[in-house]
Amino acid sequence: MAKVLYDSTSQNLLVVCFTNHALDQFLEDLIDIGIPTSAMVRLGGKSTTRTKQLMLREQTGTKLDHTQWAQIDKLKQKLQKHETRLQDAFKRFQTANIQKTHLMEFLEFEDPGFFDALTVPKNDEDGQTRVGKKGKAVSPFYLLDRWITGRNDAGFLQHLQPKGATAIWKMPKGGRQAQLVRWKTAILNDMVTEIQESGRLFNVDQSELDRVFAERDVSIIKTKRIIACTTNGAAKYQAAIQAASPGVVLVEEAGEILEAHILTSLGPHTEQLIMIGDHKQLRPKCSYELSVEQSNGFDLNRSLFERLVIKGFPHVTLTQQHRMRPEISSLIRHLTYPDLADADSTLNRSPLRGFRDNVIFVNHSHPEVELKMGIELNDGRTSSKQNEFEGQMVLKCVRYLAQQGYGSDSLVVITPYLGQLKLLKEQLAQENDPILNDLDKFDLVRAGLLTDLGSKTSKPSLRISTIGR
Amino acid sequence: MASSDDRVTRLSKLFHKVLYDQRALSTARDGKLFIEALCVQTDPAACAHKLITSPSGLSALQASVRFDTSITFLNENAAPLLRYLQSPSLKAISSGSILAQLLLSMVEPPFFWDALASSFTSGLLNTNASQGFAWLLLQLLSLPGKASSPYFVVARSSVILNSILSSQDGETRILGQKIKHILPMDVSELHCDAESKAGGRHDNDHADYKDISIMPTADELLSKDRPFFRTAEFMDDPEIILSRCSIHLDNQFRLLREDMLGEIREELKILTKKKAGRHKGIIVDGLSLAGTEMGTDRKRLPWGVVLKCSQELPQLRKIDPKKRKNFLNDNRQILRQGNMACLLIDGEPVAFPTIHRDEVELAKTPATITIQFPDDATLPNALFKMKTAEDVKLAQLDAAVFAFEPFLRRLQEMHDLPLREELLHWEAGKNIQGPSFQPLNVIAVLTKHSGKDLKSLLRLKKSVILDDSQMKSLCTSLSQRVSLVQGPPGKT
Repeated sequence: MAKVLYDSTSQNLLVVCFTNHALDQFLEDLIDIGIPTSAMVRLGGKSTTRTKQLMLREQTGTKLDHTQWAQIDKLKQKLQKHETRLQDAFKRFQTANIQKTHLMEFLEFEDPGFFDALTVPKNDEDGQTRVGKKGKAVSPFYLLDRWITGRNDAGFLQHLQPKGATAIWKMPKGGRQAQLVRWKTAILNDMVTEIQESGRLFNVDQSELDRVFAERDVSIIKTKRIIACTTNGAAKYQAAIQAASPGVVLVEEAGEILEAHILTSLGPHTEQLIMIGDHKQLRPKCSYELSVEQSNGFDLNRSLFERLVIKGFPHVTLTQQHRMRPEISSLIRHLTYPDLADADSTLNRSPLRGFRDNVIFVNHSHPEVELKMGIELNDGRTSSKQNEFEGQMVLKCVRYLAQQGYGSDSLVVITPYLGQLKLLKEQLAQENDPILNDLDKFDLVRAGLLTDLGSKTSKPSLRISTIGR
Repeated sequence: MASSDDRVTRLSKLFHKVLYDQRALSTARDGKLFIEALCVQTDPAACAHKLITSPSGLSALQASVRFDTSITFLNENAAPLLRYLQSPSLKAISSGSILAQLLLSMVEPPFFWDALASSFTSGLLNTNASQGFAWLLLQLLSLPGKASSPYFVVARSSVILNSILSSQDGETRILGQKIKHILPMDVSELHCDAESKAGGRHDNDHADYKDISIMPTADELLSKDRPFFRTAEFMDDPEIILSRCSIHLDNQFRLLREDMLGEIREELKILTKKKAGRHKGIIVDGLSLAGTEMGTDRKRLPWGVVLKCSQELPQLRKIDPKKRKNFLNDNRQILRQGNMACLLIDGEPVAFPTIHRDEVELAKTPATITIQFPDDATLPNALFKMKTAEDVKLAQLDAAVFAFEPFLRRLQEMHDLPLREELLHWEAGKNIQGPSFQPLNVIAVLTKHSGKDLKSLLRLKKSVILDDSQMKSLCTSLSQRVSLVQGPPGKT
């Protein structure tokens, strides 16, 4: 599909997957089918040995031109100015210890009524400092101090009080303290606002600077026909991607992706959206409260793919499967996919050595125990479960399979419960090195079931996993 | 216990007597006793019913708050009464009209109300009474018709609203946001159900989703109101067809953001000990303001606030000082770059900054940590509080914000939804358009090649033979603007 679009249209393609793993696989397929690597770019930090050459940082980029350098110089100068202003404002705030002079200055501008009442008037006749009872000079804060300490009048300066000041001197003591706190708060607020504003100016120019530097990447992306990234990358690098104005967006694993994650990968030039996925497999992950399963109607984890299928939007179903031997595929054919056909490659595989059948169900009556410590994350409340007996059985089977000549690299053990996963990890570690995938590891830690994250052993590694990973 | 049980019995007896005219309230002491008696009634709804239906219930309530309007009375007696009346069960009876009757009997004539309002203005009310005042004001503003007009005058006085909004108490601040939200509204609009609209629940709830700060605010996480979302079903309502696109983007944003907040809420409950459990993340305490960080002229960073620890980073205590930097390089989960953290000041969450990781600074003794405020709405309050705080802590949150943030930002930037005809407006029977660039000639040739090798036709490196379903999916995908290909397990 990508090849046809690549050959027969002039459109640029944006290829989006949910996981890095699927993205790399898809890109390797594109290389295999004959799309030149020079026409592709892979955004984001991860890659495989084969897709490494597609990464942005592996590309020889164009250099910035001198208008861009001029822009950079100008921004750098502006940033330096912002920096000084912000640092000053911050230092003033940090060292601010509000003095009475600050208070009076604040009142002069913001609360003139109080200012007039609490200012010690200058001697009208000769402009000299006022002198108090014992011949000492009167402190310029004489009135402010009297007011703060709760006196009811202006003392020996009462006769000079302006009209209407009586209310100020009648305020109850509690009210005065509250008023003081309010003034001090207002003074500090002014300082904080100054910091906030300088900070904003700084950040605006800083991100503009980043953008100019990123124009190098943009010019690389513009030369490519196929841009590949995860959904997260598509949202993050949207501006750069849009510079290449891809007309087609191709999404893999679309049944596992939240609708919002697909919508955010569309741009103004998108004319075509091709989604490949399966709405009958796992839904995207989201908290239980917003999920379809909770049935409050918010349905956050209903993928765009599933939503359109339910609406009746036509979809084509691929019918051939290339993975399972017919004994296994017949199970899901009966349960979910009636038209599923087995490809030739799945036929005539040799039967499992050492077992009577290729698919075996075992029924036993050893009940599981509830784990008080850990919770299942799919609904966040039911406690997780463990079954010691099954764990032992798995351990023995793995040992037995090894005796039949199956290396542990061709085995995988899966379980629905995080609790059981923990048990398996412990039990299997006796003879193997159980390997968890990152998502399970993360969930185990979150569920409170795992703290130790790594120790290296020389035992054969065996993959274990919860379902759907 | 016996004596307090006795007191409850006596109080209940008094309550009954007053309601049924067997005893009159005549002194300030009577008034206080009556209020105490009212507040010990275990079922607020039943109590309200008695007050309304009994011969003297309402007049007793009115009298009880009028005998004494001293600061002490307001703080000690009126505050618990207002708290009692806030019981959600009261507001629920006949859509609030019962509560409105009770409140109106207290505030009219306005002896009590005036005393309360002026004491609040002069900053004389304690935390509880201030919260009660803010709550009462909000209720009065929501009264139907003209009854609310005098209170709009009060709420519009900037001193009152600002004091409520800047209160030390989170509950009061949230009430302030609600008051602020009501103010500009037309009185006629008020009686539409406020619960079903976006905006006004707290300082980060806005009618336009583009105004919402992606990082949460402390008050947002304190708010107990259910955030605003729409159901999936609502999107199909033909009534909204014209605005469906913007409503859809709005709703996707709100739902996705709530998914992120849910995790943070749970973690925060544990951090603030509202829920049992041990916080597994990293907490650094004993922090103080040290300065700013803006990178160097060569490499600029978004500006950040630098916090200084009292000594070395607790996680590094047992590590040889020379090996600390390497240890940090090997253990990137310790104050991970770009991770969200919660700034706890004197035990209360105040802001949710982002960690900027600088191994050299973290390895020093004392260590310093840089935090950035990408949405600076919480910055002023955080700075302000740190100035006087005794205990400043930074807790790294597990919530994977990086898995949400790019999507949320992008949703806020989007003005339009490409392919909306197919994605939002498609209905059974409608044709699906093709893109302007569909390769018609290729599609025509392809349809004839089902089951044949396409190697030469498509100039492929290796043989490719498509079965019928694969060919069909290829052709429809090429010719439709939107197409869905379902691949069951095991497709290649």
